[in-house]
Amino acid sequence: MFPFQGRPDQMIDEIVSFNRQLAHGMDAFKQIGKLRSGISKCEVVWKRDKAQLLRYAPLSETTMPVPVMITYALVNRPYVADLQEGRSIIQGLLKAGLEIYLIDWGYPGMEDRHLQLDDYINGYMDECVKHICQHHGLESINLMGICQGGVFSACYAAMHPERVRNLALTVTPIDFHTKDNLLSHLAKHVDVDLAVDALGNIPGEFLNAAFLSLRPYRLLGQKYVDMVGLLDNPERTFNFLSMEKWIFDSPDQAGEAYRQFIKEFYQQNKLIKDELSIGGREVRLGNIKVPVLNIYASEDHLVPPSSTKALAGKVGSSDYTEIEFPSGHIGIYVSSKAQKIIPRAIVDWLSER
Amino acid sequence: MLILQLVEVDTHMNDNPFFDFFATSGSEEGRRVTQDWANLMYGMMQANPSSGADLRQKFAEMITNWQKYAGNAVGLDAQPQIAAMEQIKAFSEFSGCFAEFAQHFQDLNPAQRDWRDQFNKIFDAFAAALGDSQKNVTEYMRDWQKVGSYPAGGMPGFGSVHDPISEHMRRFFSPMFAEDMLKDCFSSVGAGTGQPQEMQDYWQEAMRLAAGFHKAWLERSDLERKASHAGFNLMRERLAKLVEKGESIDSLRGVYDLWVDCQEEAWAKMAFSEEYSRAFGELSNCAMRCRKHQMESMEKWMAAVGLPSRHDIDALANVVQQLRRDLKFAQERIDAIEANRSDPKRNTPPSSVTAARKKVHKKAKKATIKKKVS
Repeated sequence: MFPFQGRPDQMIDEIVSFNRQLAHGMDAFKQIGKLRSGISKCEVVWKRDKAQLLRYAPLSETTMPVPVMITYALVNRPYVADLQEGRSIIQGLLKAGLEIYLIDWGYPGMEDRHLQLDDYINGYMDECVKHICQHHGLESINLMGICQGGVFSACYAAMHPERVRNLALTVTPIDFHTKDNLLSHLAKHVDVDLAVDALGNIPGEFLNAAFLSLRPYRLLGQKYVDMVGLLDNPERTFNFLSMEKWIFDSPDQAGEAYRQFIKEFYQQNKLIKDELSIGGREVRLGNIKVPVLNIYASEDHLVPPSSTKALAGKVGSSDYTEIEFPSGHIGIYVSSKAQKIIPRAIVDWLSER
Repeated sequence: MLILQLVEVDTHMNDNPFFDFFATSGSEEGRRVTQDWANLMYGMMQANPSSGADLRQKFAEMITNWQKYAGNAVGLDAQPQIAAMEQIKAFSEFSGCFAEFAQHFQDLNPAQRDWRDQFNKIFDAFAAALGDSQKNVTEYMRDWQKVGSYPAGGMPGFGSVHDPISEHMRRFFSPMFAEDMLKDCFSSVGAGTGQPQEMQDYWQEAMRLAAGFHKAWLERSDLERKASHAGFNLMRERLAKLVEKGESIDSLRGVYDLWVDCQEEAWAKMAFSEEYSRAFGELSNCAMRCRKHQMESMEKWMAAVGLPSRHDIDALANVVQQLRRDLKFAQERIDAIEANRSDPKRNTPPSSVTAARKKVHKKAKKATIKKKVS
């Protein structure tokens, strides 16, 4: 049997249809309004340098006395957790009655080039936690970390256990040297000292190029061919463009923090080896004795499940829960399925504790 | 991403005549031209299936004309619009490649010939364009230019699509490797005197580093080219397996998706190799060495004309960061002392100071400073 059964006229039809969709897509673009960077109402309740703490307005009666502080990565922007109506984990958590705070790291400039992980974790993050504790009259709060923000949250919980009530991590790398960790594999022979010395802050585009090069044919080609199929639907086009906006909204990385993160986490894998210290404090995962929820995405190509699951057995807590979600790294926040499952899972887990 | 940029700009720059044009008559014109072309192509292809290449050329001409028309109509810098047209042209190329691919398949008449021979010939032709493993890098690069530019060059029709990786490379490295570099290098040589020793040293080192970067780039490209080649062979195998199972693909999109799957699989295999990890690292390191060397030279120029350099600003940033830390520490101490003073029974350590108190204290501190100034 011949492997290709398309007739020439069918192929021409397909091409014509493709071009027609593309041409009609111009209309869809005209209908797209302003793409937003987060949709939920919030106010800035604390600010230092570029970092600010946002407090989200409740969407229902608060059912839990202990608020949750979300820490996002330094890479990209935190509004992926609050992208659109119906695609917002934050809204899901608010509707379930949680009180939500989020740290927005901002866009580092040249003046931030010497920010270190110590400044981020033991500085800004610690101040935010204290601010929330003070405001609510609590000794400790719940932490939720997203990706690199999860690493920060885990480190914080290990260094300041008295300030953390429960720790929820999502797509968080813990073991950076698992065999399927491509980012770590690519970073292995990069001279990070040289890169930071040459560039100062590391441009966001630099990281984006690295992320795109992990799956170049899909991310630079097929995705945009797929896009043409969405153009007849303004809502789906809007969704696509919102994601694109977020993907390429990449802040530069403060040079020193980047140097530390790549060297000590990606290259030397110090966190899992219990060899890490930040600002002179030892970071030992065994110090995390509070309940831990570890959510990972089964198809994650940036943070492979093996990297996240390595946390099991390393934390000092006897209350450790893992949840696997069938999606990629970003799908865990923006897919419609995630909206039904992830907030509910976090709320249920917290309410049991 | 390009389209996203257009929409972003469109929503924020409504006062720009170009975007008014783009949002109204421009898009209408685009739809009309594309529709005309689609109808034209459809009709003619039915009449004469071998005329696809001419039609694609016609389409490209139409788009070019449209660019001219729209550019003149707005009379402004039409860069985003040109880029949009490039994207559309790229899609057209993509469609064209498929049509050509289909045409090859149409030439195979399973009833009369051994289609496997023909099938292999087609794949061999594609593989030759990607370069075989025996070919050296220079030959390959020459061939590659015909197919398109990395990294999208292996993907029919995507050579000219906005590509962040290439953009990035251009942005960071083009100043170092511009064609004018050699010209600049020798233009200041005075007859009979030559450049000062220091400049000669600089350029020699720059050339050495640039050569190193070029070598690293070729080595990495060679690995990627081999992966592309492997992906193509994988596709050949997958198609053969389909035949064995009695299955087939019945759409161009199906062929494209299969091709992407195969390329991604081959890419991942290559990317996880130690060889690629080294090549990737070396490329990054060579690029950074070039940049650092360029920067060091620039530092001297800046110092010579009395302007602050990156090094100076960097040093200031370091001081600023240290002051931030010191200020935070000092403020915590002051707040703790104040808290203890207001409530002597309470022995508050500095770390438990409230943000609200800090704010008050900060205001008070500012007021004090103001007072002193006035």
